[in-house]
Formats: sequence, C-alpha cells, structure tokens
Amino acid sequence: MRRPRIVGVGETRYTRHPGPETTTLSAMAEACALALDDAGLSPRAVDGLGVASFSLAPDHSIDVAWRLGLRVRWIMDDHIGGASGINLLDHSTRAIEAGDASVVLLVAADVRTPDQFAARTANFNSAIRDHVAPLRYGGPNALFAMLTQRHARKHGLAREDYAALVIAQREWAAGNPGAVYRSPLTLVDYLGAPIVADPLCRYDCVPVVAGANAVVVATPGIAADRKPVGIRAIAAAHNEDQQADDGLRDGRDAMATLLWNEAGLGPDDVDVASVYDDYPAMVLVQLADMGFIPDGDPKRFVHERLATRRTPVNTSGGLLSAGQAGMAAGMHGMVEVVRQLRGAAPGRQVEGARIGLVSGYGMVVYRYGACRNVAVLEAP
Amino acid sequence: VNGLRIWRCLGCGTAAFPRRAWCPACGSRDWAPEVARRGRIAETTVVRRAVGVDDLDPVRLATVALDDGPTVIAGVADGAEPGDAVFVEERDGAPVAMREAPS
Repeated sequence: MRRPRIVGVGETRYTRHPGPETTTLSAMAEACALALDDAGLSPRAVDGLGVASFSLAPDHSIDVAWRLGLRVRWIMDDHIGGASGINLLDHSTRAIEAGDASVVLLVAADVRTPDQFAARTANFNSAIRDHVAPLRYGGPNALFAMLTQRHARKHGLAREDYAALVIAQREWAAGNPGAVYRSPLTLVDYLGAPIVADPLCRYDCVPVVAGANAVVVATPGIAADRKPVGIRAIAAAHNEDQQADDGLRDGRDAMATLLWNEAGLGPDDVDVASVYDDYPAMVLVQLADMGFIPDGDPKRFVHERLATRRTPVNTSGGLLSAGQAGMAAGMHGMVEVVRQLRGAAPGRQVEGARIGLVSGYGMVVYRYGACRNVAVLEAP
Repeated sequence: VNGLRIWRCLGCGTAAFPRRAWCPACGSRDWAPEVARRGRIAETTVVRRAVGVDDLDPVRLATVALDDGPTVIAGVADGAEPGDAVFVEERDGAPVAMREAPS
C-alpha cells in the first residue's frame, strides 16, 4: 500500500498577548492558509478536515469547515490535547488509505485569556473539577512537580540536570524566529527563577501562548513537487496504567515495540526528534520509553546527548521555549520535524536529517497524562 | 476523622478513587462504598504561582498512598511531610491529609 504523505505545514506566530481581533477561528484560518500555500494547494483540493482545540466552543469541526468554505467527505473532531496532532495524523492517514479522502487538512489552535485558561484548568474534566480543583491546585504544574520529584528520586537527577535540558532547548530556540523565548538562558538564570511548584521553576513550565498549527496530508501523487514527507509508523497507548502507577515508565514499552517493528527502524536511526515537552521530566520519560536511553541513566543522557546535540531533540526550542498554544502544541513538534526533514529549518537545520520522530503526550485525567502516541516520519 | 469515601470492587477487591464505572482490573460493574482513613505521603509540593490567578496564597498539595489502595491527590492541612503516616478526610469532595487527627 502506498502511504499518504505530509505535503504542507503551517504555524502562526505564537504570541503571549493576542489582540482582541485574534480568535481561535482566525488563528485556525491563518495556519490553514499557511499549510495549503506550503503544499501549493487550493482550498478546493481539500476533501477532509480534522480539528483540535480547547477553545473552539461553541464551534466544532463543521463550523470550521463552513467558515473556511471547505466541502469535505471526511471530518473529525479530536480532543486528546498533546496527543491530538499524532491522533489526527493517524486517523487521516487511514482515511486516505481507505479512499475516504485524498487531501486532508489538519488544524489545531487555542487562543485564550489567562482567565479562560484558569477556568479551563479548574474544569478540565469531572474528576479534576470534583476532586482536585477544590484544593485550588492551580493547574497541572503541581501534579507534574510531584511526578518530577518521583523521576528525580528514581534516577538521581538534581535541578541542574533538568536545567541542562531546558538550556539546550533554549539554545535551539535561538535559531527559530517563531519561538517566544529566544534569548540565552544560563544555569544561574534557571536556578534563580521563581519557583512555581517545588521543584519546578518558571523555566520548567511552558509559556502559555495563542496560536495555531496546521498540516496537509495527501495521497501520493498530490503536491509531489513539495518535498512530501513520508509516514513510516504511528503507534499509540492510552490509559495504560489507569492512573494507578507513578506516571513514569521504564522501557520494555509495548507501544515502542509496535512502533519500531512497523517502521523497520530503531532509535539509533532517528536524526531529529520532537518530544512532547510539557515538562522536562516528561521528555526524559518518553525518550526512555522509545529506547533512546538504553543504559537507564537519563542524567547521563541529558549531558552527553541532549546538551551536546548528539541527539537533536526539540529543535524548535520545544514548547518550553517556543510556547504552548494549547491543543496546537500537539501539532507543533510535527511541524518542526517536517521542516527538518525537508531541509527547511534555517538557523537550526540538522544537516542530512532523514528520519524524524514525533511524540505526543497529554490529557491529565487525574494524576498525570493518560494519552501517549508517537510517529516516525521520513524525508522526501 | 470522617475519612474519605472510596469504592471497592465487589468482583476482585480493587479500590478506586475517584469513582469508576467499571473495574480497571476485572471489568466488574459492582462497587461498594467504604471509608478510607489512613495513608502515607509520597510527595508534597507548594503551588506558588498559577496562570490567571493573581496573589495566589501558596497551596500545599500531596500525593498520598491510601492504606486501602488508591493513590490520591490531597491537600495538606498541617505540616505533614513525605514519608509521614497521615489521616485523610474529605473536604468539598477533595482528600485532605493531616498528621494529627482533628480533636
């Protein structure tokens, strides 16, 4: 079977202070236009649409289709947060393979005021609304502060080790004009930053921004001159441990086995990766899941592989430096890896990148994220 | 201590909090309520800042492994620290942990 390919990507400018004229819909429209222009396709070529957002209500995917004037024969609303981008890619790929669409536009966006963000964290789901929000928990930072403590204790990491990851991503961000934080970050800056929830400081927590990302997936032959990026494998694992464990994982991961078997590749083949970085510890947890830390020592991995760029991870600066635009964060890393594989990441290009990995993680159902997925992409 | 209402699976004995419809271990749909009163603190954190909240009073939270099964996110009512055995009760639907039983 000839697999569909990614033929266009787009990302709006991420901004911490959107003007009143910027809405979730307007950001979606802008990202979609960028992605279609990138693919050299007209909106009339689009016959499938997938949408992900926390702040689109009362609208849904069909309202986006109508506002954009799209006529589609396949449509999907996705709502799994940081795993939504890969989930949409997975479903749209299957739809195209099955003949249900030939050109699918995927878009994710969020535009929220701080008040709206705070309201959302208190009402994220019924379990949190009823059993965590009454504690005035202030959002997921507290939960990941405690997860980070478990990770640090288990693997012997100190704040300086997580700092090295954050600083490495900031160095990548210097090469990405789209990142909201681009100025160099030092260890002194990091250790002196205000604590948000011990041990997490300001630089361990993603800057909340407004913005949108979009991706065009098409059947082979369409936009063939636009350096189409191949989709080698996608795997997912949701709600595996039922929130009953520690939220950390340690290799021997069934999802990773499925992924590498489908891809016919292994972690050593990966030239560039976007790993969902809502918090530094989660980058290391996911890299360990995927087999990138075979000796089980994430501390050594940070200093010998991430800080040195021997394993290029989150070359956009990641969410920690580029910004987290809500559900768009689930598509941000995919856009970056596609750019890298097309040789279109000036200022931060990983030369000769052929194989890229993208991971998704998200949706705190009670104590930590319940959704995980991962994709392996291939250069044209 | 009034304790925290948790749910015990009648099929296999798995305990749950928050309440679940089906048992994640055996698939049973039959549960009985019971009251958990004791646990041990695994981690604590103090939330000092939050997006969209000005002048946040620091909030102390804990991960508490209940003696009766589930691990819960709780408030901390006194100076309880990681490793401490604690009493647990429910306030406004949320677990709250404390080293000393309220008199």
